[in-house]
Amino acid sequence: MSFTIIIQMIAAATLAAVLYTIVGATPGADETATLAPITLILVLTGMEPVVVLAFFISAMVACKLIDAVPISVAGIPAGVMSTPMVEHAQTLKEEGLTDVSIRKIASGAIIGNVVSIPVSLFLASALIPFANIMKEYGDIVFFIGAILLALMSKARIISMVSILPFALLIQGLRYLYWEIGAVPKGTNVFTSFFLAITIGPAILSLFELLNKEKRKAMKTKDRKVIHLRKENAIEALPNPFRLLTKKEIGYSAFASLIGCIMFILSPVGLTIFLGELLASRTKDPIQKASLAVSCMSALAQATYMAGTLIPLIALGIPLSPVAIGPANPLFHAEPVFTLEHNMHHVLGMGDFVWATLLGAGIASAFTYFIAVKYSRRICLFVFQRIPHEAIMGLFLSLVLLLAYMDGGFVNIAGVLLVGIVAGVLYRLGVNYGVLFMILYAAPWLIRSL
Amino acid sequence: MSFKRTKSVWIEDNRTSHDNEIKLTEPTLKEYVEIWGDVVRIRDLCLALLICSIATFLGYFLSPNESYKPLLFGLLGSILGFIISGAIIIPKRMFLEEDEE
Repeated sequence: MSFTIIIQMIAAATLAAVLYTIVGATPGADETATLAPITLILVLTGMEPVVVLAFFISAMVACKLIDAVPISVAGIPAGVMSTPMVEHAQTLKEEGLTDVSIRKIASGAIIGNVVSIPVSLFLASALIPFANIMKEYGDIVFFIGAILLALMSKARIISMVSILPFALLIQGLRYLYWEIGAVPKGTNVFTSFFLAITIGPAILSLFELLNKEKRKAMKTKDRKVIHLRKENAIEALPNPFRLLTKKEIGYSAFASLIGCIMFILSPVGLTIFLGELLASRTKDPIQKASLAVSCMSALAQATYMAGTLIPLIALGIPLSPVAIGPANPLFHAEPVFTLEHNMHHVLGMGDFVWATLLGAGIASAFTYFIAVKYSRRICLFVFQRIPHEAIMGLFLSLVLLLAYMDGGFVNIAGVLLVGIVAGVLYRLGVNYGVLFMILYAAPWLIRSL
Repeated sequence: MSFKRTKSVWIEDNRTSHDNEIKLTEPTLKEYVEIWGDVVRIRDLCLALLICSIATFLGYFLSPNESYKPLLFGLLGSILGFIISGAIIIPKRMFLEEDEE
């Protein structure tokens, strides 16, 4: 690895930490919808894969560590992964312990990284011998994955029923594009369909705005009111390991370890399940809440880290909810990466280790510092200066651009269609994991009908 | 929403927030919709979508047509659009500052 590459990695990781500290603190900004498009664009610009990986890891760590701020200060979840923590952070806030809450979450995140990085790297190496068996059945694995995720989700029946129709929609559009010459025959439009699913719920809401009756029903006179406490001066930057009690460190580390081993399951599901389970044995409400937020924060980091690194290093196909969602462009971003030629194939073990350590290290240090020291100011800046409209404008315009690049003007309509259908299914309870798995399984599924 | 003036203060945006004054006189103008997890105003949303999309596609079509450049310029265009819409649209969130008890 040359010196210039290392400099680029440091620059990319720093940029990601700054950018995602801001993005991560905005309410409603979902991890998949914010991480995937930017990573995808970086991959497509032809940036060195190891630099993209450092960017991605840093963005991922920063994005979830900064969740500590909006949850603790305002009681608002910043993304899907932070929703389980809201209730417990609220308990601490009501006791006037906002600062404690921020520190526990931030320190939990550091523990999660310290445990999950070595464990993920070890598990990945241990799985390499079995990789070929798993890859040989790749197509079927995706189909089984869709069924498994559907069965594990809350809305089991609707998820199962939607597999075939949604696959039909995706393949139907692809065959149509070949027929009318929008794309060369055999080229699978993938990226823009993927993004259409991530922002499907938003596309559906936008279409609803166009209907007079629906619009009337959606209207509200209430604005989001954010309660802030007066600033407390925070002294010198505290050591993350001293902020947690021995029990909290032990439980968070244990939770992270389990989270890594179960990398194939849904990160949000694991965070809720393990977090609540570990906290339930403590009676004192304040101790319980602070144990819960530190464990959940550690879990959020660990499940994402393992879900990205293990499939990336060991398999080269996205076989975890994280790899199918936010980390997907590292596996599949045509024409740069395909399932036969992606980061797994072009990077060596040393590259993975360095990119992970640099990315996670820079993001942890920077975002921990910001979260603990400037929590109130960053909250005010983001909530007061960055309108939600602008965030929606940014992401929708990126999706439109990638839709046009994938298949011309006709694909913009195609992406809207996929978005509407995905949005409806999502609202009916079919989760992202199932929808993404169907997207992967669609070609094989329709061919074998 | 009730709160004691002595204990809590609304923090106002220091840009001219004529929005707030309108509320008292013309309630019809102050209607918001909740979309993608936060509250927006339809007119501002349309404006942001328009500005961001135009900036993105301008960047894409005006860029030199070689390898990754159209995509990069499109990305820069969308960020420019984000900054412009962020500068002209006032966020709808309100702040209530509470004293530590």
